[in-house]
This record gives sequence, structure tokens and C-alpha cells, in this order.
Amino acid sequence: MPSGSGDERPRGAAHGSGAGQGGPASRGTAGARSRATGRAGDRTGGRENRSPWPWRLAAAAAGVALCGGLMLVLPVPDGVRSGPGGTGAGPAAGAAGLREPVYFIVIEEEPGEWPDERTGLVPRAPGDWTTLPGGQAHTRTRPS
Amino acid sequence: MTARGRRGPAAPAPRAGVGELLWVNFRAMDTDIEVLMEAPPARRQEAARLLAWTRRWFALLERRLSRFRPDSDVARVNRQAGGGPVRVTGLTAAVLARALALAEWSGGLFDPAGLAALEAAGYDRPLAELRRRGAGFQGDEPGAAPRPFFGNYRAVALDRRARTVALPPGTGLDLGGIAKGWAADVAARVLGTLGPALVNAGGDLAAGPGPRAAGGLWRVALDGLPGRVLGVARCGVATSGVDRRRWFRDGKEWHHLLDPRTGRPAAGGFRRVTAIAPDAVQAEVAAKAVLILGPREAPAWLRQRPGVVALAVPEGGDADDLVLLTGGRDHGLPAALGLHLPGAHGPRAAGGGAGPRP
Repeated sequence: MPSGSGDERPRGAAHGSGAGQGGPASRGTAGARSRATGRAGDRTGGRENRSPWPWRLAAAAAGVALCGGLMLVLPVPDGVRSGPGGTGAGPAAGAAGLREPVYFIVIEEEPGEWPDERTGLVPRAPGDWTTLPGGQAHTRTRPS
Repeated sequence: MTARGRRGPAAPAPRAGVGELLWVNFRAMDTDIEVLMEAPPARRQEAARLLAWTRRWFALLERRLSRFRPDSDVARVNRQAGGGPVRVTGLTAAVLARALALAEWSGGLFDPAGLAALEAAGYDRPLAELRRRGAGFQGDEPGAAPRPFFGNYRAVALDRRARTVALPPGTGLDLGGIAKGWAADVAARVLGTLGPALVNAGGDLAAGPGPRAAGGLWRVALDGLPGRVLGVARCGVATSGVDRRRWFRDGKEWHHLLDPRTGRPAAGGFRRVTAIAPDAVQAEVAAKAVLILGPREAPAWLRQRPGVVALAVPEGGDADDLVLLTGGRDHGLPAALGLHLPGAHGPRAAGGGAGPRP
């Protein structure tokens, strides 16, 4: 039986009935043998059979990060919503968070570095936002 | 790339802990792209780099996906229709895979393989060129018969592993319907690694978490509906309308939103539809579908697709006639959706209350 470095280490409690008694003193016991025969190291050239749970937890965390966040309901400051997707009436300006001052800094890029340069940037003064429908919206949606 | 402050005279200095709202716009994909991002002042350089990347990103996608560029993947695939598989880039394969999945999700109301019908309808060149020819373009020409293309997408053979696409003869791809939304979704996710970001690609928005300075919501005005503002976060918003991208054919005005079932311009009964969905590309497809279906069929379609909300203006209606359609109760709705509709009557359910309400 090949003896990889992992063979010498005691096992944690998640590894069956022999677990908890693992350690140098328990080497060669029936429990240890049963564990060894089931190990992937014998089948995969000595690589340790890692627990799938870290991967499962990582996948679950990624799933929550990518998809679960969509379910998060953020509070609306003025409290006009009764729940997700709820509706309410209120002033367009201020209802959606205009309690904090909003200002804009226009980023300008150096022209010429882009292939197929056709149109340059159009810097917009901060005050222009007030001319948008609905007051000081950040942007607007329109048919494309 | 340089970042220059253009603070208005009345704009106060930023408070500690509140990020600056950075903004950039440019033109790509035959439309205006607008990118907003809230970033801490200390990370302005990083934000500027990301904003610059956004422009390269859209330029790259345009080179790959435009059907009007002879060297694009889509144009090459269309030229080879009926001639076997064509190798495309991974990017194009990814967009096409999403398009095919959404075609299925929409029940065939969105179909990326409807190019032949679009060209038969007269949209065979960039819109600017179409308009340059004047309103009389094709006005007296007989034109081709409308070509229904319902279910065409099922004939598209995409091999993602080999990165090849094969089309049957007589079909063609047009990814213009979702390319902007897809690009915006990816860009918003990348920008979101630094802070709250919103990408608006010609009216199709991908919104990450809203800026702290605005209470955690991006405020989105609705074009043509003065006084109505959406507060959104972590979702997509898109608007479709039959009053844009129009041209003349057979003496009649046509628009680009064709009903796959008839091959004719959609005439479901809505003039404009704004859809809010978990991401921009899904919102794009939903807006088109609701527009095609109209007030009679759209509620049932939405009921089977929770997580989508639509605001629709009926044909011939005005801003006060805004109709709210929702798909289910509250399952899978976008993260934050504050509808601020200060109209006199507020939103109404479709069909005078017969439609589903949240």
C-alpha cells in the first residue's frame, strides 16, 4: 500500500466510525484500514480525497452572490412601497433619495485611442439633470 | 484618460464616506451609451480606468455582432447560411447562446433568427442610412411579402464547444435586439466590483446597487412620460416602442419590432413598454414581447414569467394612461424597485383592474 503524506495524518470526525480515534496510535486499526481502502489516493495516484463540502459551500456562496442578491429588497427611503414591486405615489424629485445632494463629475477621455473613432464624448453640465423628465433622475430609459 | 471635475456652482463638496458620482458617455452600437458610477474619491483613477474599459468593451462587441459590418462574426455567419458551420469567437457564441435561451423563454416572441423578415420589411441597412434616403424610400415599391419567422431560432445550430454556428438557407441572425442589453449587463457587473454602477445602452439599463448618495436607488426617468421616475437597483430596465426606428414601405410607415407570428410590425395595442427584469437583456426581451402581445395577451404571458414588471402606454394614450403589468406576486422581483408615479391617477392594472397586481 502506498503511503502518501496524507496517509499519516489523522482523520477528522466526518470520516466514519473510526473518526475521533484517529492519530498515530490508531494506525493499522480496522477503521483506519477501511478508510484507507476507500480513499481516492489509491485510485488517483496518491492524491488526497478532499472533502466535497468546501467546493459545495463555495458554489453555494457564489450562487448566493450572483443570484441571491437579486432577491434582496432594499429599503426605499420615503417608505411609499408596501413590498417588492409595490407602487406608490409621491413627488418625482426627492422621493427616490434626493435627500442627499447628488453631483456629477464628467469623465473625459483623450480622443484617438479608439478604433473606429466616430463620436467624441459629450460632457454634460451637472445642472442638465434637472431638465430631465421626472426631476433629477440619474438617467432615462427610452426605446432603443 | 483623464478625469476632470465639472462640479456645478451649487454642488456641495462630497461628504466623507459618500462616493463621487462619475459619468461618461460615448457612442457605440449605433446608439448612445451612458455609464454612471459611484466611487470613493481615493479610487477615482481605478474608476476612470474601468470607465475607459467600458468603451472598449462596447466597441469590441459592435465589431463582433453588428450585422452591418462585413467582417463581424454575425455577418460572416449570415453570408454562410446554408453552407455549413462557421467558426465564431467565444464572445459571439456566448451572446448567441443567451439569445437562443431567451427566445425559448419568450415563447418565440423574440427570435434572433428573424433577419430575413426584417430585411423583407425594408430594414436592410443602418437606420441612419435608411433615413437619409428620405421618407419616400420604397414608398411606391411593391416590397417583399411579410415573412413570418416564428420558431426560426430552433433551426440555429450553435456548438459552443467548437464555437461554430450553422444556419439553414434563407435565414440570418440579428442580435441587435439583445446585444446592447447583454453588453450593459456584463459591463455593470465588472464596474460593480468597484462601486455602484449603472450602464445605459440606448435606453436599455443594467443597474447594480444604487448610489449611497441617492438612497441606494438609481433614479430612472421614462422618456415621454414627464414626471415619472423609477427607482431601481440590481436589475435591468429596457423600453421598446413602436414610435422609434421607423421607415416607409409600400406607402406605409413600418417599424423594426416585427411580430414573429406574422412578420409584420407589431400592433398589439401598446405604444411603449418599459420592462424591469433581473437583468437588462431579459428586460429587453420582455419589453418586446409585451409590446407585441398587447393588453389582451401580455398579462397571461407575464403571469408565467415572475420577476418581470412592465409599464405600458396604450396606443393613442397619454402619460396618465400608464398601465402596470406584473407577472406574479413578489417572487423573483428585482432587488429594489420603487415606482414613483406622481400622476393624478397612479398606475392602473391592465384591463381596468382585471390584470394581475403585485
